[in-house]
Amino acid sequence: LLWKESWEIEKNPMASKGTPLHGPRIKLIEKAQQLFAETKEHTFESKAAEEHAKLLRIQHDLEVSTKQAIFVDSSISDTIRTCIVLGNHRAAMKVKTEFKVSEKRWYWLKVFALATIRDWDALEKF
Amino acid sequence: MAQIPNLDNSPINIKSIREQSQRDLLKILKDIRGKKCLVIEPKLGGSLSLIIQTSFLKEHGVELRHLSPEPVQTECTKVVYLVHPQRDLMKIISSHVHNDVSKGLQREYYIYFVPRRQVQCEKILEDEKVHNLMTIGEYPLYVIPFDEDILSFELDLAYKECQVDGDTDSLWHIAKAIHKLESSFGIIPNVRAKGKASVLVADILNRMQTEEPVNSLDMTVPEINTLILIDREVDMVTPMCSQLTYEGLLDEFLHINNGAVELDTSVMGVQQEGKKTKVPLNSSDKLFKEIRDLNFEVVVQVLRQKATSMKQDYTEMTTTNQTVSELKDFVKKLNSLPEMTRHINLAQHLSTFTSKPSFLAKLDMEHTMVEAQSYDICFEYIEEMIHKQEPLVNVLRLLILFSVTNSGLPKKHFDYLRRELLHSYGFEHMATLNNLEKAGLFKKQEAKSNWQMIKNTLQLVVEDTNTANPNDIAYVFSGYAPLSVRIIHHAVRSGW
Repeated sequence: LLWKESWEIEKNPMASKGTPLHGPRIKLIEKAQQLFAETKEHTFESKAAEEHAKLLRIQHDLEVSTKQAIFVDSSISDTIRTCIVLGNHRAAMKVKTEFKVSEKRWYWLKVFALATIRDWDALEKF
Repeated sequence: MAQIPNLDNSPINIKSIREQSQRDLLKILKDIRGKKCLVIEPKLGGSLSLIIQTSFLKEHGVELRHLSPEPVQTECTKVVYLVHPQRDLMKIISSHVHNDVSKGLQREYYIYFVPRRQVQCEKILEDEKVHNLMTIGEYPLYVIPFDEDILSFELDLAYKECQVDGDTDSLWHIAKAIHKLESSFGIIPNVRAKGKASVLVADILNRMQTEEPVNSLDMTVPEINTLILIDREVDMVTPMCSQLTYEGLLDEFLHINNGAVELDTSVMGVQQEGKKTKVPLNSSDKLFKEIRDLNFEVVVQVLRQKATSMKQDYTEMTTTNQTVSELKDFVKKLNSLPEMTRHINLAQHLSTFTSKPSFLAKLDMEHTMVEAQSYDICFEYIEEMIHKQEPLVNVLRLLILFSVTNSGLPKKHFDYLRRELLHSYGFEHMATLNNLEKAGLFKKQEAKSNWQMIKNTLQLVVEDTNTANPNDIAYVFSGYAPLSVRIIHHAVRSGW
């Protein structure tokens, strides 16, 4: 029962999106991950929290390198699409391998993204 | 606001319920002397528009405002809040009072809770140190007549509150409402309940009857014979399917709210940029009463037929000499012309949605799921929807239908889809998924599905439905008979 309570408490800051300060937020999510990991039933939640933290880190790096504050708090799929739209295929590829995105989903994302920027040549080649 | 439904044809005297609510509200307002500003929570305002006319309120010296975080702008020194007992609303009201105090405004405050006061709300007012400035009362509005055969409790969050939050307050509300009905129409002799929450309601109702017996001496025969309570939990399949009747489609695409749809004026054939218009939908509109429950395919035919017959009448009119009575008939028919135009416009607007291939594909998929024969096809369809990042609500609706008809998904698929959902729509939906799981809507498979058995015994899937002359309820979903309706059939015929 204690576990239950503790993860309920930890879940809330995750759901309510936390503060714009990313450092403490990532820490909090990592703590949630540990708490989830302590019980057997919540392996899924624990993994999700782990990935969430990782995603926020990557998004932060992307924002630094592109100097555009558009990545944080978008989903993995959205991140990949944004990367492709910006022409940063290497970064997109990196996110893909990092989160083991399935080929099926990858193709949909790439097609949509290329269509948005009307890059018909790339779409043809691909 | 011409949308107050006409209730003259109702089977029991529903009008008296509305009149009672009107009287209650007027009494509250009359007890407060002088001019006053009535501040209504927007959602409640919608319900009230079905009960009382704004002009009527104005006659009683009432200024009307909607509750919002911004402070109330009014000349009146008396402010009357009419709200549901919700914690966030209390905060807003408190901030209004603080604002007034800081500006040195002296006002009298009244709060009327709908339908009853709650300790936790008053506690917040105390904590905010405004409780002593308030006069607190209740406005016992439990049911709202929507049409001549529909009363609504307007508890749209009840399912979530019961299933996810474990808050059963709404059950008390329902029991109380039925108890109130009984005091005007006599005790209902037969009560049947299906589902956990329904049984609870029946229990509470019983207790109320012993605590506060309905005076049955002046009532010879109860006007209501049977009460059937069905818990939404029993049938989660039906609401996940797309509605296919005229009224149902109007709701799917345009959202019916408080018995009316709001849409751009351009749809109704008036060119006015960006303006919205409200179209009331209830049985006072005779044409709507006739076609609301027809399958949409048929509606178009009916409208066409009517239009051609009218045209025929018109040409006859111009060519031959008519007797006065024939003229009279013709003019009578012309009177229904505005209704005709209205529904032709609406139907035309709807068909732009229903002719889309994506809509047809979705219907097809819903059917496949209800028939529960080809698991893999359904799974792949949902997977693709997630990958294409289609609107989350659409995805979840199908997913729930899929999960419910299979009594949950195998762990591997469950985790896979959850992961794909989080990846595509963001990790903040962890909480959404968690709530769905708690409510049993999207979950891990624990036992073998009993949907096949339910489907077969209750004959939920009917082939060869005749949409034009339906002889079975399955026509409303073009082949699927709603589970809850079948249950009612059985309850009425034989008891379960």
